[in-house]
Amino acid sequence: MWNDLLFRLRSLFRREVVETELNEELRFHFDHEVEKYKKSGMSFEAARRRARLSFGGHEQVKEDIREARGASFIDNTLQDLGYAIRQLRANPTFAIVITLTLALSIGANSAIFSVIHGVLLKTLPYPEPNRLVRIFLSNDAYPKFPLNPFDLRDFRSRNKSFELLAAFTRGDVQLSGSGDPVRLNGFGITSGYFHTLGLQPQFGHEFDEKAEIPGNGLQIILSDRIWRTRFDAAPDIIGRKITLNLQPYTVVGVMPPGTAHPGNEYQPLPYGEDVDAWWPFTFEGNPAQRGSHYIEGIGRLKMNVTVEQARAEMNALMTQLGREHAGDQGWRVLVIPLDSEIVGASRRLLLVLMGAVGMVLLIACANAANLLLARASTRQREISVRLALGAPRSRVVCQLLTESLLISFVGGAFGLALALVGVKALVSLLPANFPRAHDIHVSAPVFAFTFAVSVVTGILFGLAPALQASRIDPNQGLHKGGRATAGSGHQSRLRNALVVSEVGLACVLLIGAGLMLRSLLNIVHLDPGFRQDHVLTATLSLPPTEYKTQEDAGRFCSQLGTSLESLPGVQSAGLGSDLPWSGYDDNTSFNIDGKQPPRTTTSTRAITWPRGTTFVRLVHLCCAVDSSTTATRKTRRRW
Amino acid sequence: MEAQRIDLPQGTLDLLILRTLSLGAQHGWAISERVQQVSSDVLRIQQGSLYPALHRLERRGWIKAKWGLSENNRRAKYYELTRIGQKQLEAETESWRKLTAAVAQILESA
Repeated sequence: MWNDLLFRLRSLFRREVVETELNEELRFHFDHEVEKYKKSGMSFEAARRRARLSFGGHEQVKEDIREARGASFIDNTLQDLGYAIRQLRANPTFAIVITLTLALSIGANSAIFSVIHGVLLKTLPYPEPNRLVRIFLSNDAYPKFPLNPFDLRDFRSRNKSFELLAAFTRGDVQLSGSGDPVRLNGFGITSGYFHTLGLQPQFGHEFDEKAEIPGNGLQIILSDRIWRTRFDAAPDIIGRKITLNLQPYTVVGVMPPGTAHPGNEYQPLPYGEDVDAWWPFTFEGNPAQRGSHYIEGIGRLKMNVTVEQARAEMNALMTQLGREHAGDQGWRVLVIPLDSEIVGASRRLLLVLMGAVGMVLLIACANAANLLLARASTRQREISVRLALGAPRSRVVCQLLTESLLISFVGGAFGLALALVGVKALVSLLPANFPRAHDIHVSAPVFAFTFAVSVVTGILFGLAPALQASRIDPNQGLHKGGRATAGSGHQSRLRNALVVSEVGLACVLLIGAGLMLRSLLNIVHLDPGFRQDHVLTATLSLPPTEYKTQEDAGRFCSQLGTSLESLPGVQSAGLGSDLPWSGYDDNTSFNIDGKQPPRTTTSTRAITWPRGTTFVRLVHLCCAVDSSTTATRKTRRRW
Repeated sequence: MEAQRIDLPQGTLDLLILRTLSLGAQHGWAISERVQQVSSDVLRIQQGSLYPALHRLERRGWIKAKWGLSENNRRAKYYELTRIGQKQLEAETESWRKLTAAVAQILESA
């Protein structure tokens, strides 16, 4: 095989050497023949004539040898390619129009495929990611709810489905000490969290179960980024005390670069975004109180345990817990594979987009095929001449296909360039919480995809016109004298079919785009109940050691509010616990005086965001009250 | 007068070339001469089929070519059998024997 390829390539690229050798070899043979006949008594002239006769056609033999060397296919293709390039250069308008059409549509396909590859196809950066699942609770009121820490602890000790089970909750920390204080994206994690993900610190170790005991929590694991930017990559960082939230935390580990966050529902930080600090989650409070839900479960399934089996077991455990604790009644457990949790609803969106750009490509193909058909009728004479001179039909089809492939490859190359620019624009346009936006790049598979699309496109739009053109009767074609003639009946039927399919596809696209635009307008015009324009927001955290009581914090906040309002250009300023609809709230139930409380299973519920009066005035907030659903205890929920 | 010539059956040319080269490296002319001599002039290889066959066998890696000096000090292209070619020769000889034996058996039984 290898030998064969080298041999063919040598025939192709060292053509002159090979030809010289061939001539020399045949010459040698010829001379020996002449010599032989001379020895048998012929004159020199007679011997030469005899030798030439026995040799057969010299050129024919050489052609047969070239054929045997296997270079003729590549040779033909190169010839066709050269001819195709000349054809396109002779007709630049045609070439530019058709190439640009294809470049745009192939580029759109490559760009969307880049997104699909990054988001849907590439595996998550954890070992055996298909065994990773997220764990949530669910009931009629809250379809997807975080866990209570003590529930998690019971799950962890009682389950048989998971190799490891861990939980995390967001809690940003303030780093001070050297330089300006900064707020770090932080997460509280239980022991075994990194082990569950299949990761381990590059230095130090992750938290053990001792760190989960209240009072042992002053430990921290840092990201590689913070270790490098704030601590100059100090090799002796492990064991050092650093100031977080104005308290001394001991550094016990540094994660390797590129440690991807698995994404969270509650106080979102999307998948892949940088987390800078992980602190040990401590199980504080009364284990009998199961009302508060704020940690998110993640687990690694044992080998050969399916998601369904784990779900069944977890639900049995939850029923068991419900018998032990009143607060655990009425919940179901959701076990969701990590990749579908991260990708979620965007899968459908991406597939719809891929379908749409696929249709654009089909339209472009139909368009290109039509252009080729139109041009083929002006090339009838040329093709007739070739056929009349004895070119086999397959050779003509090959030559025309080479032309269309050349066009589609040039289009593909431009398309790839467009995709390179387009993907950057696309990623910057994606909403901040779009899953796996960090993983979207124009990578090798995208190149392969573009290549494949170019080949398919070239054949798709080139084949029908090529077959059509090669069907000309040379006699007729020559007699028409090469004038552009209206296509035959068959040809015009083909062109009509192409136009019809183009219009049909365009209609489908238009309708789809119209529906999407309509939905978009609906969302844009959705009234959130407050005015969003001219409002700026910022987040800060107050170290609990310095602001011990609610009053201390309140004093700081009202001072900050007053100073902000004194700034020029600020109309009013306010502070609150969280922004509305940002994914975090407290909620509680209450009864309205003089009104009958709802049936036992439901109660009147309010979602609250503790905040100053100015805040309410600022965003013209109306209080949302929903009396249809349940929550008889103080819980925290996400939207 | 020359002996009566027989056209080479399909596929036997390769076998003849391989067999001839199994005796040592040769150039094209010597191959055709040798086949003619050994077959007592019954078989004669046309140059028009010899050289394409040699180049095809070279492409397949059964024989390899190198330039050397001929008896009368001219540059000539010598072909020699490769290891794969050797195996191929054995396999083809074997199947040729089987074929001819079977054909002979049928002809004689009739």
